[in-house]
Amino acid sequence: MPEVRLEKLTKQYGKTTALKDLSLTIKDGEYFALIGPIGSGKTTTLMLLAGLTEPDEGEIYFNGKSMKEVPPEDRGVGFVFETFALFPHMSVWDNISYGPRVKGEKQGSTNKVAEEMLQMVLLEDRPDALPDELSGGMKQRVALARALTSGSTILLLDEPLAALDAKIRTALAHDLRRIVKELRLTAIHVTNSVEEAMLIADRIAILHAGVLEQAGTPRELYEIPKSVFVMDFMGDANLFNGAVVRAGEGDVEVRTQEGFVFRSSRGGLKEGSKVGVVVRAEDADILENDSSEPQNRLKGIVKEKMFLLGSMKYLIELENGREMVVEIPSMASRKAWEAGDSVTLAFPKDKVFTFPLEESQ
Amino acid sequence: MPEVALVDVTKRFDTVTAIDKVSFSVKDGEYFAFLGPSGCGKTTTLRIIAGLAEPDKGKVYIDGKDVSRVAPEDRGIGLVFQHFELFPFMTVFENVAYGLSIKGLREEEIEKNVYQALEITGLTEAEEKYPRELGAPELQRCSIARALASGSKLLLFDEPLGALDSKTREHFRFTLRSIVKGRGLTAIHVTHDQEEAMAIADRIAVFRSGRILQVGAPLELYEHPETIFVANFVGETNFLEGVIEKAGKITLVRLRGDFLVRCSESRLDSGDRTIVAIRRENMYLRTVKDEAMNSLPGRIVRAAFLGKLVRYRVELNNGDFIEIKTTSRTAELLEEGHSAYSMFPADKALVYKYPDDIRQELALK
Amino acid sequence: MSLLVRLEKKLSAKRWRTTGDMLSLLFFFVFIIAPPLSIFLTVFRNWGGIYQTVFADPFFSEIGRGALRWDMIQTSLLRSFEVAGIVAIIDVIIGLPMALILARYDFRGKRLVDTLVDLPLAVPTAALGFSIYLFWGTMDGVSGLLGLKSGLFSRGPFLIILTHVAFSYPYIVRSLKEIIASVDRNIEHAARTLGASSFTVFRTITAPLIKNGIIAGSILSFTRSLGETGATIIVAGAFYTSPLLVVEYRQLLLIQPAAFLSMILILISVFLLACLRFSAERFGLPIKGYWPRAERLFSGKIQRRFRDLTTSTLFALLVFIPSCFIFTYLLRWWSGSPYTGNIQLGAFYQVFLAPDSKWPDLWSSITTSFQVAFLATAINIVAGLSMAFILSRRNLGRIRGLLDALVDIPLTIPTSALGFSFFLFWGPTGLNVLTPGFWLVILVHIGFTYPYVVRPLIAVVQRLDLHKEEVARTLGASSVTVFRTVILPSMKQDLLAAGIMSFTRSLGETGATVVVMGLSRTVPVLIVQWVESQALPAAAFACIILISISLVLLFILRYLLGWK
Repeated sequence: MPEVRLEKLTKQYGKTTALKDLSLTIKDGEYFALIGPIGSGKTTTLMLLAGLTEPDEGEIYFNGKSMKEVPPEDRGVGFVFETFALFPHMSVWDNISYGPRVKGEKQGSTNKVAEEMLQMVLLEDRPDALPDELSGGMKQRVALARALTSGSTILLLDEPLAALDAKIRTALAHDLRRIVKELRLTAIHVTNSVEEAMLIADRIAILHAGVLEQAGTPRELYEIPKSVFVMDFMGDANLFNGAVVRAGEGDVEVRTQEGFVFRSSRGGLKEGSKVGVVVRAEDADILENDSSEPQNRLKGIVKEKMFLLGSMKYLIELENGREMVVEIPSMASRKAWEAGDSVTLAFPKDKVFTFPLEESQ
Repeated sequence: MPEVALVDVTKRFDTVTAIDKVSFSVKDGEYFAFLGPSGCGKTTTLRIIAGLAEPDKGKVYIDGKDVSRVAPEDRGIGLVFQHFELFPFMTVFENVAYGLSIKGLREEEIEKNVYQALEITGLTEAEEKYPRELGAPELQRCSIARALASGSKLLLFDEPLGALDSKTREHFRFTLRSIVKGRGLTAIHVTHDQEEAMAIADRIAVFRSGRILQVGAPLELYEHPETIFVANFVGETNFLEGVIEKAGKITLVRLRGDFLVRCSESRLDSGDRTIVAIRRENMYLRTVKDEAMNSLPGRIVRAAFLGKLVRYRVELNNGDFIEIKTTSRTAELLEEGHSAYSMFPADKALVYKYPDDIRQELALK
Repeated sequence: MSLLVRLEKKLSAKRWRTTGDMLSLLFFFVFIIAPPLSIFLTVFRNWGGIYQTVFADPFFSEIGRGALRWDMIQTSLLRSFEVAGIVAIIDVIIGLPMALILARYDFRGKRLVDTLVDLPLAVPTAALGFSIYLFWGTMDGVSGLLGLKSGLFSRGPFLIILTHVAFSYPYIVRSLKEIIASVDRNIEHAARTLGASSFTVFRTITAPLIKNGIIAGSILSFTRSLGETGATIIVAGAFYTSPLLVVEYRQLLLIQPAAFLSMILILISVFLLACLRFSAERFGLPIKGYWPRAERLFSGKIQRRFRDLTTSTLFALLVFIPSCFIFTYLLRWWSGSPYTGNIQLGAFYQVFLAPDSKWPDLWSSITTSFQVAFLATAINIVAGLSMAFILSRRNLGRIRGLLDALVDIPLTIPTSALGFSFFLFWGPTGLNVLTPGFWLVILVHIGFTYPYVVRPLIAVVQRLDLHKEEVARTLGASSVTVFRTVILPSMKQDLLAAGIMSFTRSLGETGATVVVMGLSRTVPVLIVQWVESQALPAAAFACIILISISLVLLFILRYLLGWK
């Protein structure tokens, strides 16, 4: 339910800055994902939201109310940990009903809510089992039921699917979203996997070394990345350094250090400025025959090919030794190339991204 | 002459049978993968090939010689583990030189071999460094260099990419394969990640509960999985229950909710219960029915934009749930809540006999 | 292949390994286990005489005419148990909060506190006892500050309890700290987010999970207190515990009652060891009820500060200050009595200038201590490493548990009883190979430092990464070559650490040495002598020498372990 607002949160551990000036608003009832490489501050953010640690600067508001002096037990957040953190000496039932019991709620109403949660996560038939008798997927569901039973309206999830097998992950991801939406909770889900975040969330925020890089819907982050980092993080990117040689209306022409020429319809840069040119592996096309336009065409030799589900990945060695990875969906092209084949790569100009060079490293 | 062959190898630990009558052969120069869930016996098989475990029954042949009782130090293999296992008190050079120094070669010989291995793995700059100064990808390269330098022609990899982060892992697949193919070595690569096995190997053996279910090239496993387990474990598949209406070159199957679909050839009889399996990439959504294809009406429950592809979760009108993967290049994103037809061609629909224990078959263990 | 490598390949054959194992086990049984166990045989064989002297012959004592030695023995056992029980309880009460602080919180100066908590480990027990006696029991200590003319406590049970608490404090804090640290913090975090205040979390989540650790820790404290001899000799006065009684009987050459009492003590220790192994699950803690409002009163920042303050004060008062008090004492008494100025009462005079040649005695005892410690340690490293491999790697089935338990026997048996059993086994009444003296002392020290070497080595061997050895094998190295080139180099620090532990323990050992030494003395024994002859400043000097050496060694140990 509540809207969650983070204002200029800063947190340091000794000499390391875990978070710097993080400001973010998560809407009421939104499923929000927090992604970024290891050490980017995602878990720290969750710990601050839960009140398990205090920020050095900044404040947190739930529905406009400041959480400054509010201890964890009074914040009404449910937390699902990566390692599930089930109480090993308590049964499934005792784990799930811990929240209401410890708050002194009456036995009767506790039982009712716990029963409901047990059913919602499909574990009615094993209330007396101990955590070490359960599989990973089951433990995850107990952890979820436990967090929900305590009546929380905000759900914090720290890599909840990381410890599970890849295949179970997608099924559970759907279930998680469904439950959160049904119960109208606000969920903040931390994950390392871009795919998982895009699958499950309404909006995503990318953190990098404690700083917010960009926040938006999955589509926005993918199609309108604001920096090389975001672009590379959201997909497979190939980066070239170069300079703008010609800026027209709309289009720019860039020449890279290696001598390649790219035309991009994402203009807005001045002639002579240094830029990084980024093209995604999955935006490439391999042409059957040589075509006229010299822009956005790269010639090379296939070094390795890899079979993926629904597509083929090729490692191409371009002229002057530069290597590039491209991915061609199987549906788009019938032909499969072999190591040693000469190929011409093509990129549509609206898929050529340019960024000012300070950011490009 | 095959480089490696196992004949009817069985291994038990106390009361548990880890592998049961496993037989296969790996060709000279092949990049071979063992694929399966954890605890399926793939690592045990690898250790038996390495000589770190003895088979209770059956034989192991390397280059035609029976090595079942030969000690590991005499088998001429190179081993690379998930956690690198470099000797922490030795430099990169000393680590790579270890195998050679045991053999008592002259210093110049050792140096020559070590430098060659370092060059192949791109580690010439790191020669004087200690393992604690290196990052995960470099540690793995050093591990590989050490195995290469000892001169072995057979490399055994036990989850070699498991300790790397996902971006590095993808890149390393190319590296591993180039090194092996570039030197004409034979490699056996154990992994539980089916995407990894499919991308990197010439042929794959799929393990389950101590047995090999199927051996084949990635494309073969993808297009012709022999069992439901393989169809489920390798790649992403939708499974639909039904009954055979008419068997033949094109099999007619009546699914739940009275949908009639045309599937590929099967050897079952009319009236048999069946499971129809279609790869998620082989299905697509349209708002209009297409008479030439199988079209199942349903409603889109979730549409997720994943960058290079779109994932749909669809509730068919008969109550079954399926998932569809489409490249975002070719189609517009359809919206949640809308009705749509899920389509697939007959030749991509595989027909299997309905198993006694469907949950067991679909389990991923 | 070089000659060495070829030889190693030959030695890697199975039959050589079996021979090696057999030798290690033989060493273990003959040199470590047989002496304590032989007591039972001795008692059985001499039952007649034992019965006579213990149960039948009356003798003169302060208990009164016509008392039996059996009565004395019973009294001593009762007292030992009472003292041990009180010590175990106090240890848990003051040790648990400290363990919590060290395991869960980060603060400036944490490393310092951590080191200080370990301080009593560096102080040999005799010196510790002496320091505590000086602090609480003479007018130079606490009573001096309060303006009293004599010590606050006289020698006796109270001082014994204080001494035992001080010297077992580091052990209990360390083991509790490890147990607490092994509880996943996220579990406690989860409980907080579910609505539990921090005290409730401790009671319902943390405590049940560390329950076994607490029980094990208190059994260990109990056992140590039961068996402590060295420090107790100094602070006991007329009060006697069972280990002290063994020493007295031995000095009075009453072999039979000594053997009998030793046997009883060994039996009790083995029983306690068995209890430790089958950790008691029976003790429950109140975790079922929930009193949210009441428990909130115990939670919160202010309450936590209060708890931390009390813990630190108790630590300082009961453990830290008494342990180092001896330094202050020596400074004051160095050149003479601080009260009368009499030079002859000063430490400097007593040790270097007095006619009874204390310094030469001290010097020779230092050499003796070092020789004994070095030999015992060196032999145990070799034998212990082999045993560690046997226990960690060989497939032994059920026997493994038993063998593992047997290793701890010298640790749990009171040192005087242990020493006495060695005396009986190797001496004139047994195999008649040795008489009390230097070599018997070495054998005793081998016996009692063995567990100090084997235990950490077992932990190290278990942590060894088999994968590294497997890779080395596939690269062409035979098992023995792998041991030399891969395993040993990776264990260097741990071997050194285990060696230092054993060396330090041996330096400080008093109880067993007193029983088996002939004319040669180790430093702790010398200290006891000087205390008994009231040459307190000289004794203080000897203590400082011993403590300084131990401190240096333990700092090296911490450095080595910290380096990991």
